[in-house]
Amino acid sequence: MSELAAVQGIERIEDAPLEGLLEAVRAYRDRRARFITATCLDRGERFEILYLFDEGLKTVAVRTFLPKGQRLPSITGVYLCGFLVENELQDLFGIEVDGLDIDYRGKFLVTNTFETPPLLKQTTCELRPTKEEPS
Amino acid sequence: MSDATNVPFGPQHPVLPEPIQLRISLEDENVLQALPALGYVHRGIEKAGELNDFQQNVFLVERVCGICSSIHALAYCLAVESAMGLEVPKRADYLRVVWMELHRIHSHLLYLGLLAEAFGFESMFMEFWRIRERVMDLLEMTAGNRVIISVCTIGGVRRDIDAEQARTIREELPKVREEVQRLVDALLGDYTVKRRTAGKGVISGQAALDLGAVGPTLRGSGVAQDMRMAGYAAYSELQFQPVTFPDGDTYSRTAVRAYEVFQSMDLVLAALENLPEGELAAKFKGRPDGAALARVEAPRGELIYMVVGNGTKNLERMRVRVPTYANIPALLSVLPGCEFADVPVVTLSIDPCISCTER
Repeated sequence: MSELAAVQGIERIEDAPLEGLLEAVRAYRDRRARFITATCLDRGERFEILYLFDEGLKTVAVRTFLPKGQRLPSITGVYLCGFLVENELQDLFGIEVDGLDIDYRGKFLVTNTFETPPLLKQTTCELRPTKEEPS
Repeated sequence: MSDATNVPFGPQHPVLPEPIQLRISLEDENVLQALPALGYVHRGIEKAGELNDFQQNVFLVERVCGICSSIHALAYCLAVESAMGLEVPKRADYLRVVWMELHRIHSHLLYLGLLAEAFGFESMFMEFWRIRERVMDLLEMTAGNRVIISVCTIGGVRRDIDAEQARTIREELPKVREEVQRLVDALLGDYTVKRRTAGKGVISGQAALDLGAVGPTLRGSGVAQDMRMAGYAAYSELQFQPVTFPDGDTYSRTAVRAYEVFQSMDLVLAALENLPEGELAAKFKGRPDGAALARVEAPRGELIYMVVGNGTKNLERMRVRVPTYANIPALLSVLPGCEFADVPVVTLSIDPCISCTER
């Protein structure tokens, strides 16, 4: 699956290797950009993760790629407010985050009713069977 | 923190219309720390957005939230329109402003009523909600429904506002304004209200920005940031300056919402005054094949939809970031130091919407 070439509405996407992610994020903090959220896409063998920032009503992003099975460094040391979305990445994509300040250990939004994290492409959903009408 | 008393605040609590738990550590009556526990109403809407046809998603996303439902639909439509390169007719842009601002008015009146109830002003609560019904009646008159109004569609709007309906809105809103003004004067000028809200849950503008706060929570700390300034729909053609209050406390956040009610009324009237003739929706063929992000200003703050299309009828990804989600870190930062008795009102001051937050 191919990566995003461009996103309408995002002014600029800056690629950062996993080891340089925190440095790239810190540069936005130093420029007083507001952290908006992170967005993850399941790209088969790896995850494509965008960290979105607001700079004067313009949206800019740092993008990194995370091979499946590797751990993601937490940005909570730079933007504490990132703990919510990083816990969500753990829950919904099964990504393990290193150094997360407030760690719900995969039990932030979902319980253990899913065998695989729900937003992985391999997780399929079916409609719940309708209950039979009492005779 | 071994001597701390831990108190679960929620998930069922009189000031919380929806379930969220704050695990609060107390020393005597003072809050030392608060941590949220979510997951009571997670519905997997982002996953459902990948399974549905991209056009059906308009109706799905309206059900993310029962209060700002049509603003979710607008944000989603803007994202898909951007991904598909669609140009929305001018009339649809103006009609979108009318309905979105009516939604903001009823959402803020709902908040003001809930806040009044939180400190025991039952009559004021009922008054705010009685007036809110008149706005709901306008939504019903123009859209056929009160809450889930389903007016937005990809490319424009599904319904029109005719001259008779526009006249009714123009006649009704000044009467609503008069009644709201009377209540807002009573609320914001009241000694007890000031004692319960002024100086409670204070967050500075810089701290609010650092913690990613949005909407009235951010503007109540003096930061003039509102996505309507970016000019989506017809906002670029209407006079608009964000409402701000400087103190960063519960009183300021409430005052921002109170004055935004009047501003929204002005925007509705201005949009109706300048409503151009023309089509309601752009016709289109094809499916989204590309990615787009849309940011709009919902009543509680910045709402974000990102869609990634792959040329099929199903989206590769639908991402939703709601305002309450962004405001939770700010709430957690202001609670330590508060007295336990202030926790309900301070919590309410971010106008939490858990249905949105959990999706």
